Formats: sequence, C-alpha cells, structure tokens
Amino acid sequence: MLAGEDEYIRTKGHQPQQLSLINLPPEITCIIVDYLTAYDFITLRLVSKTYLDYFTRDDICRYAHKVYFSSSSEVTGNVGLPYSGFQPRLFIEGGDYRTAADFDNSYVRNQRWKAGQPTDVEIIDPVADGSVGCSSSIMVEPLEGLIVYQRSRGILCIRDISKQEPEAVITVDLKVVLGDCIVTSSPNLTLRDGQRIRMRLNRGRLFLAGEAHEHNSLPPEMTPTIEHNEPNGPNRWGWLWYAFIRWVWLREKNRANLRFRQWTLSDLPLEISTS
Amino acid sequence: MSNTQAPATVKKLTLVPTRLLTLLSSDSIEKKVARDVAERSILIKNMLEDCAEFDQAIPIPNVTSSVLTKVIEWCEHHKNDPAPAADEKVDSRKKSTDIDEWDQKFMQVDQEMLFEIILAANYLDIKPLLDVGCKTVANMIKGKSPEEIRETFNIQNDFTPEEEDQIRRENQWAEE
Repeated sequence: MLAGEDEYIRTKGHQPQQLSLINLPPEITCIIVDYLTAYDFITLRLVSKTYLDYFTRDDICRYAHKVYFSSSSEVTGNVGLPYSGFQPRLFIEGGDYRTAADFDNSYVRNQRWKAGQPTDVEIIDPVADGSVGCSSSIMVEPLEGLIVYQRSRGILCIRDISKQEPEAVITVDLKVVLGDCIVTSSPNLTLRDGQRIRMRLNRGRLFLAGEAHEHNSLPPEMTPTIEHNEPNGPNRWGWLWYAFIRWVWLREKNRANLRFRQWTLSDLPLEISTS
Repeated sequence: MSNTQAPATVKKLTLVPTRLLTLLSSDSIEKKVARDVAERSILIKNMLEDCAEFDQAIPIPNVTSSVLTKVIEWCEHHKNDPAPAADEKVDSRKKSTDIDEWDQKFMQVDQEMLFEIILAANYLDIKPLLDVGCKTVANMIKGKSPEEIRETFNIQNDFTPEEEDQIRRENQWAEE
C-alpha cells in the first residue's frame, strides 16, 4: 500500500469531491503513471502547486523511479564500486528508501547523457602521475567521484537506464563532447573507424576504461574491459591500466598518490557542464 | 451426427435462459444484469462463488446508478473477452496507450464520469476497464505542456509568475 492510501480511504472513502488525477487513490494514479513517460511525469509538476507537491512525493517518485528507470543503480542496488555519493541508506536490509531526489538524479543523469553532456568531467593535460605510458587513459578520482579523462577519440557507449532492454545504449561521441584529441600524434593511439573504447558507468560518475578494441557490430553489450585485455594479448597495456586502476581502488591509501593538475573552468570546452 | 441435427443443437443452446442478477447502486436503484456480464467484475464473481444462491439484490455501495449503468454497458460489450491472467505481469514500459475504437467512444464522457468509472472499475475489480480508463487519462496528459494539461483538466495556475519562473528554472533540464 502506498503512503497516503490509508488517509485517502479514511478521509474520502470512495466518494471524493472534485475528482482529479491527484485525489484518486495513489494505486490508480500509479497505473496512469505506467502509461506516461518520465518527461510527462516531470511536466505534471509544473501544472499547479498541488500537482508539484503530489508529484514530488517520495512514494509517488519511488514508483515512477521504478517504472521509468528500472535499470538504474538506485533501483537495482547494483552500485558497483563505492563512490563519493554512495548512499547506503538506499539498500539497508532490502528496504526501499529512495526519495524524490533519487528519482530526480536518475532523470537528470539520463537527460544529460542523452544530450551528450556528462557531468563531473575533468580534463587534465597531461595525464595524472602514474598513468604515463597508457595511451587511452581515463582515470577515476575516488574521493571526489570525478572522471578524469585524457581526451581521446572514441565513442562512449553507456546503458540507457530509461530502457529495460540490456542492449539499449546511449552513444556519446567523445570527440564532439570533449574536442579534438590531444594525443592524436601518439603512435600508441590507433583508433580506426568502428573501434570503441569500452567502459562501464557507475551512476554517471565512475568508469573503468581500457584500450580501444574493435567490435563487429554495435551496440556492444556492457562487459568489463578486462575480458578483452588478456595480460599477454595485443592489448597488454590496457590490461595493465585496468590492473593499475584496481590496485588503486583496492588499496585506499594509494588513492592519496593520485595527483591531478589544478584546472579552471577555462580548461573546459563550452559545451561541458560542470554542475 | 447428421447435418440436419446441428442447427437444432445450436438453437437449443441459445434458448438456455440466462440467469439474471440484481445489482443495487449506492442511490438505491436496482439494475438487472446477466450473471455472465456481472461476472466481469471479479468482486461480484467471488461473491457469487462464495454464496450458492443470491436471491436478493447485490449491494454496490460505492457506485451510483449512472456510473453502474455505464459499467454494465462496458461489461455487456466485453462479456466474451478472454479473462485476463490472474498473475499477469506486463512490462510497464512496453504498455501501449492504444485504445479500442469502441472503448474510445465509450470513454467520451465528462471528466467527473471518467474518474467515477475508473473508481468503480477499481472497486468492482474489473481490470480491463480500469486499464482503459487509466489509458484515457494518460492520453489526456501525454506530450502536453503544463498549460495544455491545465486546460484539459480545468486547473487554475496558482503559481505566481516568480514562482513559475523558479520552478521552470529548477526543471530546465526537463525541457526536451
């Protein structure tokens, strides 16, 4: 039973006056929500004050979150590696403590990625200490939850959390988003048409990245990079890079050894949002 | 079986008298309805299964006669539809808002009646009718702007211009 349902039955029973979308029993409103899109749901908040109150209620948003972003990490509980914004309250003893803010986070994240405007992207030049020698370098700053990205050519493929089909991905052309590659002259970087950099996304913030490798067909399924980078295979450097990232993650004291160049807003291309 | 016997058999079947039930609306109006029609309501069906005989009118305390008439009309039209699976779990994101033409015309009522039908379908546990009602409401919202939704549902915009600006700024990311 949704929160408020008891109150509805007690105060209005089945003889409500001025029936409308927001004074139907919540169970019925939720059926209507099933047939709407996340965009429609957000639009309803702009109708009136009572609509704004209703469609920012935690119980209604929790349901909408499950309907519209069923494969988001907040709903599935699959958060992967911990990050600075990790909220263990969401998953305590199997309870469901998601709030309207959690729904909003998923919505914003999904919208921004669809627009090719990821948040929390930091571009460094040169790459962080310890990553020298890795051609397609993306680093993770665990304490701040930042992506540290050495600009490169490639297309980022991430799972579209608004779709339930596992093959549904959003593709972001990093060259368009981040500008020209700064290491195009590097002999180690030989991306060709059809090549992709395979990554895993954790709530739009953390990535595990590896060497570019070729796919016969798109979109690719999301699997860990390490599967494609055997220690003695052609992408040996990619495997070493992955191993380095894991080593950093698993040994917290090593995180302090990651040093990054100070950057300013002027370092960012205009189209990148830092909010 | 010879060819001449078949029509007689069919005729005999159609002559089987249909058991009529009496439903009593919240405003004390009695409605006669065939049992198979009434059993589109899972609530009534369960009541009938629990009681061997139902000689008295079945009270439907939450539904007025005008709404009950509409609900019976829908049940009569759909009396031969296959019953939905009891434990049907449809992927909600794959739900279509397409509505059968007859149902579309059936739902062309004023909004008060539309919501009353939805409430009645929920109370009487007629899931297909509940779905049609909810789809109808969803179609009144889908793809509309806040202003269009206000017009559709006759809702007054009680935001001050400043408040509306602020909400729009906060929801700027929602503009598609």
